[in-house]
Amino acid sequence: MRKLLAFSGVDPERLLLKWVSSAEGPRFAQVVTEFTEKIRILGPSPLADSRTAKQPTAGMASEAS
Amino acid sequence: MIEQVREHVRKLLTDGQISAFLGLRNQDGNIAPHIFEKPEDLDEGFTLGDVEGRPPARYPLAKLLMTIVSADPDKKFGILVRGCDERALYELVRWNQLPGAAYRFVKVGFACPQELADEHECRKPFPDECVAGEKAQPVMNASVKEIDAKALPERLEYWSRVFDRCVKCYGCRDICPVCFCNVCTLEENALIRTGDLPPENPIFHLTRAAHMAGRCIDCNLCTEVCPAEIPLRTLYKKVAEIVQEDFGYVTGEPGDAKSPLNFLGPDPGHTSAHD
Amino acid sequence: MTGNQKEEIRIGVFICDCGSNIAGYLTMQELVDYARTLPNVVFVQENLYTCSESGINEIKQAIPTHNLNRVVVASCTPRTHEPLFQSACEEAALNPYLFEMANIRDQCSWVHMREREKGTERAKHQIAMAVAKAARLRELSRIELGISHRAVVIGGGISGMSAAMALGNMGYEVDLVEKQEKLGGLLNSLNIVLPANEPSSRLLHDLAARISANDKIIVHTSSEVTKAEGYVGNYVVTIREKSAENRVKAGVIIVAIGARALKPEGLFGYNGKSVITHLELEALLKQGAPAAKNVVIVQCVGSRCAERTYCSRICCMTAVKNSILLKEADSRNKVTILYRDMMMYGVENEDMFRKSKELGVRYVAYDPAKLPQVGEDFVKVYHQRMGKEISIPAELVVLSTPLVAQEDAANVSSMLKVPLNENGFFLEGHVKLKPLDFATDGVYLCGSARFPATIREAVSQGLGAASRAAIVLSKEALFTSGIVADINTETCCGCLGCVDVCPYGAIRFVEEKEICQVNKVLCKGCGGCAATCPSESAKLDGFSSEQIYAQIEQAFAS
Repeated sequence: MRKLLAFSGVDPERLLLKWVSSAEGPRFAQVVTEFTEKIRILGPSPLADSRTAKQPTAGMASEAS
Repeated sequence: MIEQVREHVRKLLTDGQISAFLGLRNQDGNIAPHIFEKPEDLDEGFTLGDVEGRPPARYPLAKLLMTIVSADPDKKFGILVRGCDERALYELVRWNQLPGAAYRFVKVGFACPQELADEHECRKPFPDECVAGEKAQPVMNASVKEIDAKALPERLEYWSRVFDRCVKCYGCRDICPVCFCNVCTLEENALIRTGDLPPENPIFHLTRAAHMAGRCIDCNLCTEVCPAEIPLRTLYKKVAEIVQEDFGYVTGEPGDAKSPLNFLGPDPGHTSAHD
Repeated sequence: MTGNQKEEIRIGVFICDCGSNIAGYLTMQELVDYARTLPNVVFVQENLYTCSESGINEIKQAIPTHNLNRVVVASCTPRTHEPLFQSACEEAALNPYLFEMANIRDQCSWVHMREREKGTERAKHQIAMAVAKAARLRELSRIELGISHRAVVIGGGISGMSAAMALGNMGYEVDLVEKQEKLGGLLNSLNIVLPANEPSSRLLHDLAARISANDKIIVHTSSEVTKAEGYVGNYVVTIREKSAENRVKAGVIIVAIGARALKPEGLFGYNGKSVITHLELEALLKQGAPAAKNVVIVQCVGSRCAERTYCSRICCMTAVKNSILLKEADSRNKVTILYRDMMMYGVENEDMFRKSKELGVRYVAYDPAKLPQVGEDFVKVYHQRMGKEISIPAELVVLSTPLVAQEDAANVSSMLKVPLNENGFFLEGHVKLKPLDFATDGVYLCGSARFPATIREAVSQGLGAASRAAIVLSKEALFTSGIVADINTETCCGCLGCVDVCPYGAIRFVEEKEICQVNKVLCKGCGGCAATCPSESAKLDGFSSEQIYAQIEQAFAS
């Protein structure tokens, strides 16, 4: 997905997939905090203005248990 | 060349090795897929797709075979195959869309002329076995590299521009020889809002691209039919490249390798806590 | 499917204070007021403890009084409390799958303890998400299954024997399968068990005698489990005894295959004669104390290193125990223990440690960067306090090696489809909430197969696994979860995409219809098929795309 996004011109850093076990609370918090920080630095999605009604394309952190 | 193919098919039909042959027929200058049932039918309009002054006409014959085979479960069919048709057949067999494939159809292969291979930048312009035709040189398509050479914002600008031309005719999907689902995600309102024109950019096209992972056999039919001239093939070629890099899987090859998205990686349950 | 689609949706929301666990950190009144504004919500109530008897009663009363057809509880984790609330719904004649939970404790009040406003805001979002999903819930049904009231215990060591004994005493039939010729496992090689101060053989014989006297327990020695099929309540286990193969029906399986002591080939001059392991020392002690006057014991040999990062937990106690026995055999014996960290947890072990010091056992800490050197009749070690290398006379060197996973652990793992950790030990369902269960229902684990355990721990884990297993065995029937996958027969194109993705082998291709079909008994509701299906024909009941999209939309709505 990241490679496809990059090819389409979307910064692949905007997508994150991480396996976090349900027993790893602190790690989950860390992953989410780091990622939200990163997104904040990257700024609004370049796709956001084309569909103003929609929310910006945020990332996705997946939780597995 | 056409004579060799015609006579080969005639023999298959006469000997009763096949009950019918799925090929192309020229009727009043229009070329369309046709089921030839009797040997004598072959004398009327049988064609390999050539039309004067134009590149030969192609159709997703493999996809048609899928329908024909399930409608007539007792018959064995012959099918006209180019390199791309054969790749589609391999993929459809893998996805179980031609059940009992081995004894359900006979391929009648022929090599495409260099002119056609060049036109479609075909990676393998001939099937594994050819009844007729000189094998043309494979041609590599460089469009992926061209995009790769662009910077991120340029890529986005490029794709946004071409995707915005989309009239959502679903032609890319309908012509696609490996699009066989009965219901299509592209028409799922919750994922891609229906009613928008152009369809949600880039969600519509990226969704289709994701579904082409491990499936697209690089026949170029989608790009050929697209009325808006969207270079879809480039997008799907990139997806194929990713699948090959990450999973070592190449579509459209014989054998019983599984499409990489259709099985679990390590043994079930063995997930690691560390990524 | 049900008539609910046309019926007016009436959602009741119950918001739990959890004492001060939630109410202490979030503004509850704000949540209550907010919940009232949500679509389809007709009733909102705040409870001091929704899970208490009065809280449960309030749910049960509200359902008929307010004609609720959906219930949302905003409280703690569904993992522990969802079944309770579901049964409350069921008792009030509401299908338990018309219930949804929002975890505003773990995900709001706990993580945003010092951010009341943000935490409250977040809780609103989660309640809105749960309500959005609840509105789209459909009635689901469970399938009733008969069960076999019989257990198979794999491994006849101390933990397996304890588990078998416990189940046998409860009146369940047990097949106890041991690979070796006799029961006992590692216990056979041990000498004296401290702090009980009893020969291990006594413990072993006593337990073995009680097992053979129990006519519910069938012991299979020199046997192996070669195959296991089926699911909780209805496993079919193939046991190979000598050359004969037997298939037994079992409701549950307990994995107690233990561990083995690492043979430290190539480490510290190990030769099995003057440099030996504790197991070898115990064999010598059984026959009477060894002649050596000077004994050096080296801890952490082959563990806590790059190759095996874990601490084997039991070697410190073993070393202290054997040092005491050597000292007690002859007080003139000089015993030195070279250690990295002494772990002697618990009062009795601490007493044992103190006793060894009183008896004159000498402890020298070594630095893993400067490993002790074993010579002909001495051990050289860098003494960190003195800041120099010292040489300790030693006719006998004992190496404390870790327990490592059994060689056939990987086979058992793939046979039962239960996971191993990176060291080859079995991985429990959850380190705290399910320490003796696997994620796979009906399969349990105990003893050193899970991680190196003392005898006492192995016994208590064996008993624990037996009681977990008895929860299944004591039932007359089991009900499958309603959360199972379903494949739309109209739209499935039979591409087999889902078949190999299913980790439970629950999907099969139906030739005649050319479609794939889910066996709802085997399905564990993981959703893998729904994710992989190219045409959205496979869906997971209770987690349909529609429901999930509705939740996502709410999560982003501001």
